[in-house]
Amino acid sequence: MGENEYIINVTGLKKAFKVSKREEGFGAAIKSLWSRNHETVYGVDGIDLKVRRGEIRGLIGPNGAGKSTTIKIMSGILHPEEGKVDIMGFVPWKERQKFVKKLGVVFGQKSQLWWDLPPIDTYALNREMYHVPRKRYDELIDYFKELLQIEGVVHKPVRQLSLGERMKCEFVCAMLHEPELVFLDEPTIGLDIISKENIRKFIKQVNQDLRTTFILTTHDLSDLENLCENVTIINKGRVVYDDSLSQLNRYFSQKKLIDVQFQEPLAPDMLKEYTLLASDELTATIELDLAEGDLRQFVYELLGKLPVQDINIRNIPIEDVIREIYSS
Amino acid sequence: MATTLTGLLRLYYWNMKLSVSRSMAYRLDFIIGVLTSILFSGTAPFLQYIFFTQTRGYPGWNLNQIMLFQGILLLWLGLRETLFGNVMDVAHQLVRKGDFDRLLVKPYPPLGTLLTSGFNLKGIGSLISGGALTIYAFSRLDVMPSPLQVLLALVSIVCSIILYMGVTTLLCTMVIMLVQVGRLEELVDRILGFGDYPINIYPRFLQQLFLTVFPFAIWAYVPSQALLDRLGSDIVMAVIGCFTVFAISVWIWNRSLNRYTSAGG
Repeated sequence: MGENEYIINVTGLKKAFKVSKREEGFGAAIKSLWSRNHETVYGVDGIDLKVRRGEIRGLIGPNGAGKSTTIKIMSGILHPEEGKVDIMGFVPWKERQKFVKKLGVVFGQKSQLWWDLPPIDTYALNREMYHVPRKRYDELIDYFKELLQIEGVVHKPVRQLSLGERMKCEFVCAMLHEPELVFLDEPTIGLDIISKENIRKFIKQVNQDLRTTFILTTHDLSDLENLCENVTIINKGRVVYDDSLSQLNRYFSQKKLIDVQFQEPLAPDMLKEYTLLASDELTATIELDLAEGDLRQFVYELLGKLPVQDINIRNIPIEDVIREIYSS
Repeated sequence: MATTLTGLLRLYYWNMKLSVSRSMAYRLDFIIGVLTSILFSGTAPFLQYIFFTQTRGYPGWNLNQIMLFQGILLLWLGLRETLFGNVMDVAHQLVRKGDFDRLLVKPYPPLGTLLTSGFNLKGIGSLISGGALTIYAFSRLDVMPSPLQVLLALVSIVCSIILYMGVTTLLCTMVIMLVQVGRLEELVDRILGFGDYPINIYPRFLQQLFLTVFPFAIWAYVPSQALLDRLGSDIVMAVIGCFTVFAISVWIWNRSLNRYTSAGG
């Protein structure tokens, strides 16, 4: 595969922040007026990232992991200390104005729309900003209106819209200049299930129709499961996982969870030899490390020892895998 | 450069259209705002009138001339409020909501995007009262300015706009880059207020200062003198001063922006 297949190609990205430190107490507060101690902290500490054109990539990590800083560098907002960044053939912070013409950004908690006016007015402003030809603009507005079912919504003042309606309109705003790459920062935050589904459908459809690449940061794992084939996990300024979501499911393939339902209530000491994740009189979830024991043998013994009515064997849930990666 | 400037002018026009639409969405607020502005702006000439008639007035100015000065001052205050009245509000909002990054993902220079968001229709109150007072003053003065005098007055208005953009740029730099600037904005407002009086009332040193380094004389004193055919070479220094202030402010903005984008948050 050729290098130009990658819309994002980042290597060895580093970004340091100067963090002021002061001792506790009033005296230290006064002293900080004329003298402050600083410490240099790497918010991003050697990130490598490659994203293929047309991909929907999940970028996740705990708070303070370096996701936002990475996104800001990739948007041209911040300059890194070290590393190479090539996005759509641009070095974002060096050719910012040209670069952002091909970039769309949606912040789940911030709005680009004029609060007191209907979204259609902000769209007209964006048409002017990005020099979208009138004919193409009309086509796109019709396409987005149909896709998101916002025919009447775009003519109401933004302040009268529900959060779900507003988010749909925010998406249109970010997509009107047909950016090749869109950064979505928690686009489904605070939305109900139906609105979330609509937004996800929209992202998938636009990804297919216009071949737009999306980089999605989220704390909602169902966003990842519904949209992303690949996921990059950042922690402490480094990439700690960069592969497919299905691989992430197999991250703890050496461990299995066995849910057991019993025919009759059991005394707690009957389960003391197992690693229990949860249990009550009639059910138990047992963790089995395959490095320490064979699955078939284990199940065979379990069925022999205990009055088992039903049994279910599953992998460690993705939430737990991610939690484990975050805390490692 | 020319393309960027044309783009920014078009952006200003679009922002202006949206701003007018927004004002129309709150019609009552708009009407009350304009009426209040007319009433409020009328108090300044009235105070000047009382001051002028109850004291020995300003040296070198008679009542009709000072009325013209007041008219032009009101016109200028109205013009700057109309053109850039919203800029500081937008700057404060960007800081309060942590939205400054949003300016950096627009395909324009961030300072340009900020300045083009300044249109505020409420400034037309002062424009109306300033226009009325200027016409009234001319009718009492019984003079007709020559085309050259009008041209000089227009040049000084253009320079006033350049100067005010410079001052606003400096204030935005303080608000956005330093975030906590306390009462510095108030102080700047007070300093700008020196331009609201004919500069002959100040000592010689301050007169020179307001014609060169801080050329606030450009926004009422210089055009009034031009229209009264009393303008000397003062305008040359003032024009240079305006462009210098603007250039310095843009340089400071760019340096601060560079620090912001390389420091991060």
